Amino acid sequence: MVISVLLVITAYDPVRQDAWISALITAVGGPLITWLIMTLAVQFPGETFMEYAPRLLGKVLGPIVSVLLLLFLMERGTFLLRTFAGMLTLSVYTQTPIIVFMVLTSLVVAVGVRHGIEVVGRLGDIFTPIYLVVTAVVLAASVPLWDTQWVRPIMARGVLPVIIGAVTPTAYFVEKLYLLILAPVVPDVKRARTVATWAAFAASVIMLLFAICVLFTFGPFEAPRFSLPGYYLARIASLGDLYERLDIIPLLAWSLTMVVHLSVIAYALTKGTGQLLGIRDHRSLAFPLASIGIPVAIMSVADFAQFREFVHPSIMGVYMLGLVFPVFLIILVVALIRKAPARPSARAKGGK
Amino acid sequence: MVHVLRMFRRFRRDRAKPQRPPTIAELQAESEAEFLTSNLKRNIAKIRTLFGESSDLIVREFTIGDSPSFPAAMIQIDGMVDAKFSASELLSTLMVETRLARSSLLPRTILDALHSQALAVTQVKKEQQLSRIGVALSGGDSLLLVDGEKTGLLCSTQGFKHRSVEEPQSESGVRVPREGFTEVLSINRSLIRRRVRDPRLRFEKMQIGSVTQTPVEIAYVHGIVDQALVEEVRKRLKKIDIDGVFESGYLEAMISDNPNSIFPLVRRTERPDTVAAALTEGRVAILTDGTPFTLTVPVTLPEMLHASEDYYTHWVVATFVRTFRYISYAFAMLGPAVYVALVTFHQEMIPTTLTHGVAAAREGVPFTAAIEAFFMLSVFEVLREAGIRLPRIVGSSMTIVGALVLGQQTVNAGLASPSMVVVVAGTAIASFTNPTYALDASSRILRFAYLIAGALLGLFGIFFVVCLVGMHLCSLRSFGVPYLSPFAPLNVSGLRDTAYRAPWWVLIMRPPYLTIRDEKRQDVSNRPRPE
Repeated sequence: MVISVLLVITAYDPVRQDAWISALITAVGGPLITWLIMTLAVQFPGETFMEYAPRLLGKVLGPIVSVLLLLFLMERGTFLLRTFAGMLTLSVYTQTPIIVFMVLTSLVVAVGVRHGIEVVGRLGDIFTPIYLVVTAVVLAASVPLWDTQWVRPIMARGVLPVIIGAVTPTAYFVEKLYLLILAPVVPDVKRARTVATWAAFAASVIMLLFAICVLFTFGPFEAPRFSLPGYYLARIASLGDLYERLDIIPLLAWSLTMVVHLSVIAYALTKGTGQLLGIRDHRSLAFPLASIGIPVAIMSVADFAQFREFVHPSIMGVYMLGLVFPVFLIILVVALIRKAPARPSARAKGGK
Repeated sequence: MVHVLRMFRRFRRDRAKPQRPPTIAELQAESEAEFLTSNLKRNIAKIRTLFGESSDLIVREFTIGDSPSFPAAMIQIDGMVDAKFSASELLSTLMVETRLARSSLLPRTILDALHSQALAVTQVKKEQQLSRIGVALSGGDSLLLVDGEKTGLLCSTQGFKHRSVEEPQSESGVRVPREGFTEVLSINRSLIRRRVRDPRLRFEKMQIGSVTQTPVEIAYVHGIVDQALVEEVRKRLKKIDIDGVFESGYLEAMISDNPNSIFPLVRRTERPDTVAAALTEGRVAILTDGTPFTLTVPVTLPEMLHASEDYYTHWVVATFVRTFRYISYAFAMLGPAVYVALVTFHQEMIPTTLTHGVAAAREGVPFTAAIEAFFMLSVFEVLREAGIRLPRIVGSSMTIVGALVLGQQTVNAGLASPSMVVVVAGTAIASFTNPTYALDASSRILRFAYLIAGALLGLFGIFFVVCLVGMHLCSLRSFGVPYLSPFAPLNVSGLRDTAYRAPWWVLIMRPPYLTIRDEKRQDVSNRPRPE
């Protein structure tokens, strides 16, 4: 998740040297969104959204919203797939067709989905330390290149650009709606809510660190122009003679977490689809959904220029925070007002 | 028409039946239903038919006692029994000394009297069923039959020739016990018992293989081990129905959680100290007769990269060596693939001077780096296999051919570049650091998979295969224990004996990722401190 965020943190041009303040705002907004999403899951412990939606929203509206959620996850997943493949073709494999990476990535992700969320989680356990160490090295390596004068003057253009600059990174956290499908995996949802919120906070902190390093290194004029500021940071950073031109290593480490992230979204998508269609073994949907995902990913964004347009607050912000999130908020309010109608089976057991 | 056909079929069936000689399964079922009678002559005849006048069957008929005297017979398999012992102790007692003490034999039945007074053997078992007698005789027991008795006495007189306890061939070390398992189960058992003297160490006997009747034993320390694990091992072993078990590899393949994985999910070792340590950690060992390789379960991937010596040396040294072993395992898998990826796709990552050197060395080589690597790795695999299979006498000539001719002359002939030879040789040496042979096999196979991926797509090709292998590893379990524990799922206290080897006084708990009944290994106060 972090990598997709670090692509966009400095993307909004007018915010310029105040991007780090935007990142600070995100560090509040991101966890808040995560907490709200998990709050809905807490109302229905042990159930996925697909299971309780008909009870909460009715026989007609429930499945419709479920389909919308799945489409949203599909869009997020394929967008991520496109971003990842685009990142590879943009940085290392300039000669290789992008479809190669889409196919390979979706193949790996589909295998991950077939193995189940437990395996994906364990993969995350292994990859996260690698990610953290490599990221720390990259950030530390950029320190000699810093010029702290770049951040001045602080908020020269007022507060508004800063807030608008925070919109897109914050909007990214709305994709955590997949937690509504994953939540029943853990036995204690309340604890999971705390963990997820802190995880979102940690992600925002890493993003903040990236924003600071990119700003200090490239300055407010160059930084917004990069499509992959994090990658360029890794590219120019060096640790004496020890670490030079090894930008592909951070890229590899970040890709590891990218695969885990994509697998999580794909797992939620597969499981949700399976439940909605009443398929008992949702794993059989992994490869079909992956094969649908590839053309969708190709269609999602044409190139990185369009990608930059898409992540502009006026599009991404309106789409995520203006359309998707309000729908979720309405559902949450409904759930809180209706006091979480209990599971029919549970009610029957209570009656006896 | 149908009627005629049916008649024809019945006719054919009737004719076929008496012609077919009985299969072994039918013969076994037959002998299982057959028991000894009270007639000595008939009993001897029964055993003679059972063994089919096999040349190693010895039947010695004699009489016990004077008046009354009982005709008796001692039946043995030649070469399986200690002939000297059975002649001097067993037969002389029965033939000579029973005669002197005639009165005491009278009141009870002759068998009970023999059992309690005359047979100077530690293990005597009463048996009536013919099939069990047959298996016991083949295992080196002597059968004593007395006329008028429906029961035979099986005396344990094993005395077959076997290899003595020697240094384990496949797992060597500097500061390690030199004893290794042998092919005889009872010796192996004693090697373990000598290291774990608590009477709670239990051995459970079973026989696997319908024809070989191989003795197999489950070992565990009662009170540490989780009984559910023992039950699971027992269940999986009991399910095996095969004609023969000649090595523990048969069992390994049939009790593994994921038999198609190239990663070993059962640990095999020929070191008694390793097995004893595993038992005290709450694991279960499976001993198989006829092989020095003992299985222990459950096992995790990191544990297979630990040598027993790690636990006998200073913890800093052990951690240091272990780190290199981990790196070597990774290099043994990824080395050639990363090299090929670098020289093919990512030349900018190699330091400039080295790039020139590599490019210059590759000048005369007609193949791409990938084909070159594939060729050299194949040569290495063939050399290695030849090194294992070749008769020891031709060993020295083989070394000359392998090292000199192939190594030096492939470069001179322009078939491979010197840098490739270095990489492949480095890979080979790295793979020899692996203390578990079976795990090394997985790295040998994956090396080729990574190589193909690296040749096609560079480092990200390797990356995709790493992801797939990683997912596979994360999905594996060995008797319920996740294969990558304690790394995934992360167990911080478990890292004390994986990521590094903590000093012994810190390893207070047994491996926390195992399900065991008693987790505490030692007292907290074991750290040496000035009084």
